[in-house]
Amino acid sequence: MYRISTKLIPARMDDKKRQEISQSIKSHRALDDIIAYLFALLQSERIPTDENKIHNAIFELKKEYPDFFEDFVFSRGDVYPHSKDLERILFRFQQSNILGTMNPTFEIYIFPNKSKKVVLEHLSNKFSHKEKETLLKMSRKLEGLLTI
Amino acid sequence: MTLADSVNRWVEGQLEGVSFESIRDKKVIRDALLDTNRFFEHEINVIDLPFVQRLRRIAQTGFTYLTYPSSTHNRFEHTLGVTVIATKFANAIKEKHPLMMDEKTMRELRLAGLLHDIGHGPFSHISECMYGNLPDVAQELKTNPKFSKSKSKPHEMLSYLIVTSKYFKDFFEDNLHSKKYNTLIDLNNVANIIVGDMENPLEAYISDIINGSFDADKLDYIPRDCYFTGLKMEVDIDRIMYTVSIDKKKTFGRQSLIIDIGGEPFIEQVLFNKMMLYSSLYHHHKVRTLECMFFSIFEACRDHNLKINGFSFDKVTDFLSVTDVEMLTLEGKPDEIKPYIENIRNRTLLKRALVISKSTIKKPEGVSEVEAAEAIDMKYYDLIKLSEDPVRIRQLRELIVQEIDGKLTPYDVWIDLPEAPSFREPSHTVIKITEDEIRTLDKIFPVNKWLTTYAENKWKGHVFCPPQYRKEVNKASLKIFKEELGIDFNDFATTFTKME
Repeated sequence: MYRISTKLIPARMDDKKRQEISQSIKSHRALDDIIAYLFALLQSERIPTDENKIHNAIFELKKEYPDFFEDFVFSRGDVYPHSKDLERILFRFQQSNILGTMNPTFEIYIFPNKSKKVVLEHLSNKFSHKEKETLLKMSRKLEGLLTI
Repeated sequence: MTLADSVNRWVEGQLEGVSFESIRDKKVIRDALLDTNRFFEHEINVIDLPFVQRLRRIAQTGFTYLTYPSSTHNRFEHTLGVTVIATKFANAIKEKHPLMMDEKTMRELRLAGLLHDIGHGPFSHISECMYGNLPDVAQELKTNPKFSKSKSKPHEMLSYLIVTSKYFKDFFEDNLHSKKYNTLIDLNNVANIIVGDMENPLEAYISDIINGSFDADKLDYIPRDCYFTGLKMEVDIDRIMYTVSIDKKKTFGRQSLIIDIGGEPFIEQVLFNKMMLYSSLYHHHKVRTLECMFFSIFEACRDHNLKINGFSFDKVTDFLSVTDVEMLTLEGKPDEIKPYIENIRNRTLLKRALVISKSTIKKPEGVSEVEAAEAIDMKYYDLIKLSEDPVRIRQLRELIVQEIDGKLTPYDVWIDLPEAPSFREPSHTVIKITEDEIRTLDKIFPVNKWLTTYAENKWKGHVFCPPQYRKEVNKASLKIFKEELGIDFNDFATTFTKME
């Protein structure tokens, strides 16, 4: 039978601690949230799936807005700047159907305006008013970088 | 003390009292996959170094041998294999570009093959997840351009620091270098090859052989993992070698290693095998369970200031100082940890209490199909983004444990959301179509998108718990996911666990 280390069984959690944990889970902002919000602000419903373009674009944005992208690390010794974090985020966006692609060429991500609205509403409380203004500016720049 | 200093000190301890006999001739080593191969005299001395020999005691694929009994291959065998395949690459380059692969470069490449994995800790990538998050390691990876530029993995950075440590350089010079064997190896070049970052972009093809998109590392571990697990897959290494050359036009600002269009299907074959290895092996739920159980040991030590074999694992050299063998003995372990070691030793595993996938999230009622689908998408988004958030995952585990008052520890309940497998190779593999037309593989055939789509649909997360508490943990998990993330699961989330 699977053995449990009874000496390590924790004491009963008090209500204050329980609430702190709950608050931490609900209010945390992930890197995914920044990219999802940014993409949802794009005017076009079509985003190229070309990794070179997307990774390069976020790499360029990081130069101008380092605070938002501090945790994104880009490799630069390769064919183009590449971020593993961004690669995984894009994977999760497709997994959760935030971004869709069309078989069999997979050239374009589709992000319908209706879905964008859902994403913006869902993530609205993760950003301050000022941050939202910055993200809007960033999305305009991103639009140009992705040459949609 | 800097990270480099502490690694230097560790190397000093490893090499203390080490001396070598002169090797009179090359030696032959046989391999189950790569047949008979010769190693140079100085390489035999390197192979005999304690920190290379310890790789014999580090499993190549972590705990997979407890699910696939024959996958007992280790980092040492892989290291020799990478050296052999790197030599095949070097010979292929030499045949097409004789001036671009001299004897010195060949020897540096081979040494990089032998030393590329010496930074691994117990059970390879499993411990790497832990020491990669130590503050000094994470900081060095992020801020030192040598590692951030090429996005080195933690074990690659450690291999680099060991190879470039003052103590190893002095030792190498005194014992193995020109005086004894007339080699002209520059250890800085060896270390640069390991992290895939040559000083000169015109030499990028050299490090691409060990640390590139279709490198000797991949061409060894993929067929090796398939062979030893018994999974039937093939990689045609020799066919790939016929098509290898150098992008002398520097299409991407560097002289990359390239593949002629004729080799493209064989690169795709490698990638399809990698995909199958993820779904059949690396992400197998029993393999993942064991990884969680292993993490528990370190988590419990960290939380309760316990030591394993005298190590607290708060510094990276502690991970370099033990192997799989020491980790799984009961000797030197505190009583609090022994039950968890014994569970692994006896293969008494945690079991599934909940299956997490898009198809196990409950559809909201009373809304249109489209609205229901959108709601599921966002719930699923909230859930899977936690896969790289150990803090929130731990908090959720603690809440689940609290629901089963006084019976379990957080080390007995795991929420396992595997990271997405990376299929970046096609966008970094350079293919020569004609002398004037060079493109990355994904621009010819979007194989990475096909692989990603497959992986997205195959992906599953789990809640694991002791078998005797499956029903309680299932109930508690459903409650906590609902309360904290607003996620309702359908009946399949429980049915798929096969707990009944």
